[in-house]
Amino acid sequence: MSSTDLSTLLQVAWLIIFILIITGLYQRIQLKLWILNIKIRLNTIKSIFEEDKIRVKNMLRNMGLATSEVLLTRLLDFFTIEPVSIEPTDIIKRMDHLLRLTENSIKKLVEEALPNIGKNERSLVESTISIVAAIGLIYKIVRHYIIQGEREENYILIMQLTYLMPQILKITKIYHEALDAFMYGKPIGDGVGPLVAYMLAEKCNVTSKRVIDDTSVLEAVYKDRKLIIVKAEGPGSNVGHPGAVINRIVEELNGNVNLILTIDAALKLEGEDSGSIAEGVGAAIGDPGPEKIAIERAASKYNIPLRALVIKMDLREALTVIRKKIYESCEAAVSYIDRIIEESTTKGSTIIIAGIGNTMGIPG
Amino acid sequence: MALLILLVLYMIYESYIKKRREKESTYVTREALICLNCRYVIEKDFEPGDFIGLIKDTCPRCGGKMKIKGIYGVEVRI
Repeated sequence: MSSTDLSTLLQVAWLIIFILIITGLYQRIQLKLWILNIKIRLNTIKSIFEEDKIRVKNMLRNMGLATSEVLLTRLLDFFTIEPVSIEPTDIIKRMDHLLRLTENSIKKLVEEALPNIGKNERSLVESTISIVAAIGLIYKIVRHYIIQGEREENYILIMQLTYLMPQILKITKIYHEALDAFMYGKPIGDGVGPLVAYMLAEKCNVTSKRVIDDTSVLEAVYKDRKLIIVKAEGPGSNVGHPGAVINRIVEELNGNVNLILTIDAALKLEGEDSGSIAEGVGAAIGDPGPEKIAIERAASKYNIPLRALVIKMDLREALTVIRKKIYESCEAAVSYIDRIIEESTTKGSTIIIAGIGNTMGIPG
Repeated sequence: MALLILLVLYMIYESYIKKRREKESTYVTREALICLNCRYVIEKDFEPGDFIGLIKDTCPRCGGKMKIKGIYGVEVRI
C-alpha cells in the first residue's frame, strides 16, 4: 500500500468518525449495544425464573397438589403496600399489622391448598414460593425498564441499567441457589442466631419451654444465672416474632432483667472474613422495624443493657446452606457469650439471649 | 503495531483472569452425627428431612444412637 492510499484511507476513516459524531449515530450504536447486553442478561434471569417455577411446581406436585398453577399465580404476584410514612404516628403499629397480615394471608393460602402436610413442610413451601416471587419481581422490573428505555431511547436509563445488570444478575443467582436450601429445609447462614441459641440451650439445664407467637422461649439455668433463650420455633422456615416476645417477657418480669443479648448474622463488607464475630450495643435484628423497636423500647423503658453479637458473612452465604466455617464460628460465638455473661452480669442475674434469624433446620 | 498487539494480548489475559476469579465455587451439604453414647463423630451427606438435633442412625463403633450435631455446606473443587 502506497502512502497516498494510506492517507486516503485515514481521511475516509476520519470522515466516518466525524459523521458519526455530528449526527449522534455513535450514541445510537452504543445504545443498541447496551440494550443487547441487558437483553442477554434478562434472558438469563428469565430462564432462572422459569426453571425455579418448574422446580416449585414439582415440589407441590410431590406434596399432593396436582393443580399448583392457581396457588402459584396468587402467591407470585402477592404484594404488601407500605404504610403511610408522611404521617408517622403509629407507623410501627400499622406496619406490624400489615406484615402480620401478609404472613397470615400467605400461610392461610398455603394451608388451604395443602391441608394434609405438616406445619414445617408448609413453612418451606411458603419460603420457596417467596424466593421464586422475588426472582419474578426482579425479572419484571428489569423487563419494564428495558422496554421503557428502548421505546423512549432513554440513554441515561439504559446506561444505568447496563452497569447495574451484573449486580442484579448476581443477586438473582443467589436467590436461585438459595432455593435448594429452602426446598429441603437445610440450615442457612442467616440461621446463625437460632443456631447459637440452640447450641447454648444444649449446654444449659433447660427447665421450661413455651411457644409464644411462633417463637420458642426456653428458661434455663447457666453459670448460676437465669437464662431466657428466645428463638424462632424450629425446625421449619420461620423467623418468629422475637421483638414482641422479648417485650412481653420483660413486662412479665416487671423489667427485672439484667441483660438482653441479641445474636444475628450481619452482612460483611468486602475484604472482611466470613465467620468473623463482632460485638456491640443495640438490637441485632434486620426486620423492617416492628421487632427491632420492640426490643429497643423494652430495654430503654427499664434501662436494661442491650448488647449485640454478630457473625459476618456475605449475601450468598446468608441465604444459602450455612458454610462449615460459619458453623464453626457459631461454636466460637457460644464461648463469646460465656465471656459477655461473666463480664456483664453477676450470679443470680436474669439474662435474655435472643437468636435472631431463620431457624430452618434448627429445632427448638 | 507491537504496542497494539501487546495491548490486545493484555486485554485477553485480563478477561481470562476475571472469568477465573468470578467462577463461583460449588458446595455440597454434609451433616455431622455424634454418638450419644461414645461421642464418636461421623460425617455424611445430607438427606432431605434431616435437621440439627434429629436422632438417626446407629454408631458404627458402639451401636449407640446418633444425633445430628451440625449441617453445613462444604466446598467442592472440580
